[in-house]
Amino acid sequence: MIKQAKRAIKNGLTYAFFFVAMTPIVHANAQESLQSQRALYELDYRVALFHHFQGDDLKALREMSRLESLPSKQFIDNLARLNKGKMSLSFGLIDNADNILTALDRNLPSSIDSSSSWLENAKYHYKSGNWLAAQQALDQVTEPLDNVATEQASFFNAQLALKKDQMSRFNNHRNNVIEDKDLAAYLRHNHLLTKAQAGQITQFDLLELITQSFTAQDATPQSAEQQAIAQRSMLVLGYAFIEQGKNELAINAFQRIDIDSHVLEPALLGYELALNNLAQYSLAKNVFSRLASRDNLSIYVQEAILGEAYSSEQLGDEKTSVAKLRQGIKRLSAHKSQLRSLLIKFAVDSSCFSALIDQNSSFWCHEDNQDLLGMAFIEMLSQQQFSFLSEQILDVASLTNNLQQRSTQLDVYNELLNNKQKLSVSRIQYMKQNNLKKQVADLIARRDDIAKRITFAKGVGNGSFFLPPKEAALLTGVKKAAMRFRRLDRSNKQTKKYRTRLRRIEGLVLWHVLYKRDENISQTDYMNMQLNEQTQVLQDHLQQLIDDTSHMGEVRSQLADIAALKQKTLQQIDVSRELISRLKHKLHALIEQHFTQRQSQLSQAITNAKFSIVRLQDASYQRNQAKISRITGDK
Amino acid sequence: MKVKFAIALLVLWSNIGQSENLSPINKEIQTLREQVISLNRDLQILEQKLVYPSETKVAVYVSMTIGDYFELDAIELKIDGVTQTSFLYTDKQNQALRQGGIQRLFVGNIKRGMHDVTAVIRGKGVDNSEYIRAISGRFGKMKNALTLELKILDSSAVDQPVFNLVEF
Repeated sequence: MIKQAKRAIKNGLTYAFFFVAMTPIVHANAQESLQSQRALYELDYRVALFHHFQGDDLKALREMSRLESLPSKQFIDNLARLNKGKMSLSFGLIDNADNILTALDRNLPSSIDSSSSWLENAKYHYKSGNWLAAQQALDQVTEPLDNVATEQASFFNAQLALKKDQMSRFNNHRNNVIEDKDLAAYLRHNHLLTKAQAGQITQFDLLELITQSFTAQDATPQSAEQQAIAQRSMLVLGYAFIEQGKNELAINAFQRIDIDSHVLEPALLGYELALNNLAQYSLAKNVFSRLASRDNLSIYVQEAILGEAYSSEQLGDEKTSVAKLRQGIKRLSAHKSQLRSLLIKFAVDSSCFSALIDQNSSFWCHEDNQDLLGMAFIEMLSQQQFSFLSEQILDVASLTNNLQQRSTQLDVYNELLNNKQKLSVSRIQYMKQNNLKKQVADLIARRDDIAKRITFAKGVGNGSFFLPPKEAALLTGVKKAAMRFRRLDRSNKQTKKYRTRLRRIEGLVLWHVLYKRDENISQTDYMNMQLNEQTQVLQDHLQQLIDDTSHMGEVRSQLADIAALKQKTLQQIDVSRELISRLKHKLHALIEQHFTQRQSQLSQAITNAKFSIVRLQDASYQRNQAKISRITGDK
Repeated sequence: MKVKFAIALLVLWSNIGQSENLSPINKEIQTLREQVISLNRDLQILEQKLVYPSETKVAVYVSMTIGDYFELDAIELKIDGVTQTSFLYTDKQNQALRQGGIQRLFVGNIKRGMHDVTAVIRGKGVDNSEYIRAISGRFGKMKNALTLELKILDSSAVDQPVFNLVEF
């Protein structure tokens, strides 16, 4: 009893020790696995960031979306959500970005990341034109941000202050935008616009702009963006000065605009207007002439044609004025006629219109239309709404392209799986027909042989079954001899002597028989072991067969997945094509509307020109009549 | 002449940095974008299962910490002496790595067992000097996917970049 109790205590302690010792191990293993999962999540998340930092937000969002579908989604923290919001914004998923950022802000008002998320939220609202929400989000930016983000926050604050005409607040925020020169240039331009609209532009603004952007600054060269904004700002100043009647200052502003600037045409027109206002008709005429001679018949060139005639008229050169007006009418009429024929062309030949939109596929439009297309393309470029729609079309086309690539990839995987399936089928057939059947038959034969021997061995009992024939015959002979001796006279000395010898022989034979029997049993064991090994091989093959069969099921399920994905992809390709078609229709309608408006404008200009001719001719006629009357009166 | 002035003002008086309101077609484009992301994700998952099953998968990532002492030009990755991939880095990619992004340099398949992995890294060190360094390791491929990270770190102790090849 005491021994049993001791054993029980010992066993109990062992179990207790085992339990205590194993619990932290199990816990440690779980923790290790969690850490490993987290490390792998970090890798994939930062791969998404790698794509995002390069501006490839489709790939970045694909990685994020994949992470969200895995168990590792538990590790997605607020910083990752914030970054996903940024990726969504960059990729044009404004609604998604809003949902993410709004949820983030609501859940974590005091987190260290909340300021960045509020800033992103503000950017989103600003982009979608919701100024109030943008301001509310910016007001939540209370935590310190990095320098870039701080300047961005100040930029949006300043923009919003400008919209609300809060100039003191605007100036405070504007003063914080120092490093990012592009943002500073935007603020200055928008400030000038606001002042121009309120009629508050002064000479100081001109001097400030000249000092900041039009004086050689070798140390800090301006970016192309800053230069373009500065040119636009100068144009704003020029027109604001004309409106204020400060034509000298306007001329000073217009003269600073570069010859290759994108605002050269409106600048030249403004310059001419200022010269005309100053009655410098000769100079104005030269500049008008310069603008009117430009190939592209833009709205500014159109005005310059009429302006040139006006300057000539003011100079008293009515003849030249009429000639210029007639030339102008001819040019304007030709352009109007081109626009009309282009509209007809677009209506009857959609490929020609597509050529215009796709910009590079003019191959599909007839060669005769190339000049017209070039003209239409220039007209199109001049309008922001067209470029916006064209960008949208190109954007959707790039999405379609991505879908088509995915579709091709799916075809490749489909083929790969089909080949895999064929291979599996052929493997199974091979195993069934050649290998497995043969092995099974072989094993059955061996098994039967061994079973037969064992049955016989059990039946005979003396192990003679295991003896080779020679030894078995010897044993039978010895046994027969022994029987005969038993029947002989037992008292006979000679008989006794032979019986003793025979007993010795019998003993020897029996020893030999037993030895052979053991040897045979060991042989049987060996064969049995071989049988077991063969059975194991058979089982392995059977397992492989089961694996292959289940793999076939997996392949079939993957093929079904591919088919579903393919169908979804094709559906989306259809959706995107339909979208492109709608966008093209929209663009078509806008272009038609624009070209029709341009025709009206041209008609108006032609009418004005004709009217001017008539007026000039009338004036000339009346002057002549007055001259005649004077002469006849004198007489 | 007043007409001309009005035309010019119409073109000019637009605030820079202001965007358009979202039109219904924009919403549809957003939905299309979402679908494209979702399809790309599903395809990537399928690809992982199909082309790179975890039994044979090996993935090599590249990360850079700080990167003041080194500018990456190229990496050549070898497994068991055979070049698996070579990658040339742009400024943008270098910048993305410095900002904390990680590049998935290579994904492929290898047999179970021990493998020698070598990365030959080229770039510019301090003072714009040419820098070539090879880093190797012997790794065992087991049942799970083999994931390696090539870490490029700045060592302020030696004012040099340090390279590590580690297994996850």
